[in-house]
Amino acid sequence: MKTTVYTSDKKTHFFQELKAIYKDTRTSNFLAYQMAKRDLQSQYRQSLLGFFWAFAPIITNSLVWIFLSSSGTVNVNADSSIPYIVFVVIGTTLWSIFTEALMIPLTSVNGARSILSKINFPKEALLISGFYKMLFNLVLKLILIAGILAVYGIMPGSEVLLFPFILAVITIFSFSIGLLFTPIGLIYTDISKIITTAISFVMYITPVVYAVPAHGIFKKLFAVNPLTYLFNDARNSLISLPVTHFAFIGMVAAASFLVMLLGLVIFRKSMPIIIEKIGG
Amino acid sequence: MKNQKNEILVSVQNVSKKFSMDMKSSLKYGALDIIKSTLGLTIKKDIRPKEFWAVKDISFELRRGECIGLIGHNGAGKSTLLKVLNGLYTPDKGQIVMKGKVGALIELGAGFNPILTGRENIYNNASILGFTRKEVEDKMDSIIEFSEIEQFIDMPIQNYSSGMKVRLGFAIAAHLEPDILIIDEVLAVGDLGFVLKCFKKIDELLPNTALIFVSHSMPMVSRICNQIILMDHGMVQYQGANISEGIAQYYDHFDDMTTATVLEDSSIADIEVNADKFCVWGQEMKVNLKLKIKNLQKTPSIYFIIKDKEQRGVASFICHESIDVNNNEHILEFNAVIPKIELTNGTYNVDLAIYETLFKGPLCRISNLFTFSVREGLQTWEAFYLESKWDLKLTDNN
Repeated sequence: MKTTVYTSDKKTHFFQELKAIYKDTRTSNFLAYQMAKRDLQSQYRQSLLGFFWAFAPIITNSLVWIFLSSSGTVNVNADSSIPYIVFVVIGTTLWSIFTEALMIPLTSVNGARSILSKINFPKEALLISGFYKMLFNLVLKLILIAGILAVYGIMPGSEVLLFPFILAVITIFSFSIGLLFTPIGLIYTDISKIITTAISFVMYITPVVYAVPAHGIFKKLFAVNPLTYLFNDARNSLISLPVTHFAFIGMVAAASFLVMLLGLVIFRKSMPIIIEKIGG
Repeated sequence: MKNQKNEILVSVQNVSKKFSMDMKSSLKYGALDIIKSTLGLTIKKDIRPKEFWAVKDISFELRRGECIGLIGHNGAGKSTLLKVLNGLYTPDKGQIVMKGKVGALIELGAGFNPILTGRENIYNNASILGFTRKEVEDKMDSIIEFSEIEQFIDMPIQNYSSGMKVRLGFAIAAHLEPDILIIDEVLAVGDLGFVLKCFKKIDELLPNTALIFVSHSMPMVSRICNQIILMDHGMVQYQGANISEGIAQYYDHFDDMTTATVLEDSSIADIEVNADKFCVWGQEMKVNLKLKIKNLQKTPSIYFIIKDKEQRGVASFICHESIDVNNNEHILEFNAVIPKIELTNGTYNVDLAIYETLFKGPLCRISNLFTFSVREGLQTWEAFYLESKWDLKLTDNN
């Protein structure tokens, strides 16, 4: 029979926690799936336009930049090899995937506040259900990208096979950063405000709506931002341009994975403290 | 199953839990504790400024088939203790060992989404409670049947009444088949029929379950518990197997029984009562009542109601005598003798109601007119300890 011990001075080392996380992740898959299904179902059942809202932020943001660029208000230096609209739509879609993955842990746990202090369930399920929801939206967003490529008659070459991998690296990179600040972020709401403010600046040193500047201080800022390489290569892989930083992306993937494991352990260890402080 | 009957499923040793007085320090300590646990530093378990013990030094053991009742006034620490037992909060001191599958009914219907239908929400709630997909599918029909809301099961639950939500919530939880069941005052919302059904289900589960039960309803506690802990300010005030003693001490918390006149009429004035403060079980009790009357055809009917601590009317005594007084002013004196008090030990409050004739034309109603205690009888939860004659025989078959 399963025996659980709750004690004041629980001594567990990193790998024991990882093992427990692995076990809970496996057993809570149905719960995670069910929570994601519940949230998506209720979201779309109360909406007439439905899936449109998954695209809406991307479309409006793209439109803003297309307008700014075509009216000559802002002179953006996009890659001349593809139409600016394609450049912007791909960039904004990737950016929205990045920001969504970043906020998964915080949003999922906050959404479950009311049950956290009532029922003891594997908290990893919240993270996984957030991931499922993101995947669902991701599929919709990819349809948008496929659509825009088709409209402009751009046929991706064999590089497109790398796209899922780069996309996975972008999400895991973003998710692991999000996971790291989640425990403190759940306690102090300042954290999520700082993140949302900071992220809106980071967008301008990432090749989202314009390409890396050719010179100047901004060129250096772009150069130290790992997202620059991820975004450029992801976009390139879609439009048959060479993927140039594959080794770097591999390193980011490995580092992100380690950070994610660390984040998961911290998350697991701090959840009882958090539930006590925020659970209603 | 038989040899498992006596195994200890819950073992709680000197468990304490502290809380912060205010939000600011609570969050600060929370953030500090997270950083410390991340860095692998030890977290100090003693009280820091602005902290207090919400639960202090609780120990008990519970075997399969046993039920422990946690009682105490609001804020005594019962729910906090339950949350520690359920693993939601980590104890700050002590240790808890739980064996087997734990089902906690701290809130029914957790995870319900108001927009989705009852059927969809069965999946949501059941998955949070730890059911597998197969278990939910197998038990779906039985859950719906137990909840008795078949015809509304495909309606969004935002249109359900609170009672219906509780029905659905309990129906799901009742299918958990736990080894340890934790129940926190969740059954109060349903109607009587459903509460009875819940208790029938709990009776069914009890032989194979260790039950931890928090309630303010002493009839329920006395009905199912065989151990009791009375908590006050996080600490144990009474712990033991004498349920009646624990309940009696619980009632002693609420000794504020002031006399209140609920209904008054000008025809009755100057009510004065003299009654025995203490009665011995099986002996007589005397009550003397004086009052002034005017504008009445006949002397009024006197109706005394004896209430227990739970404000439950347990007995009454009535004066059926009547004299014609033709609207004159009089001082009336009633002398009542109850030849044999068969109430169980405890304190009782007495209400007085005066009618022109019994139950017609109410003139006066006074709550808690006087209080008396019964002694030297039996301390049990029931209201009466009846004198009885017994005949004991041995009949052998051959």
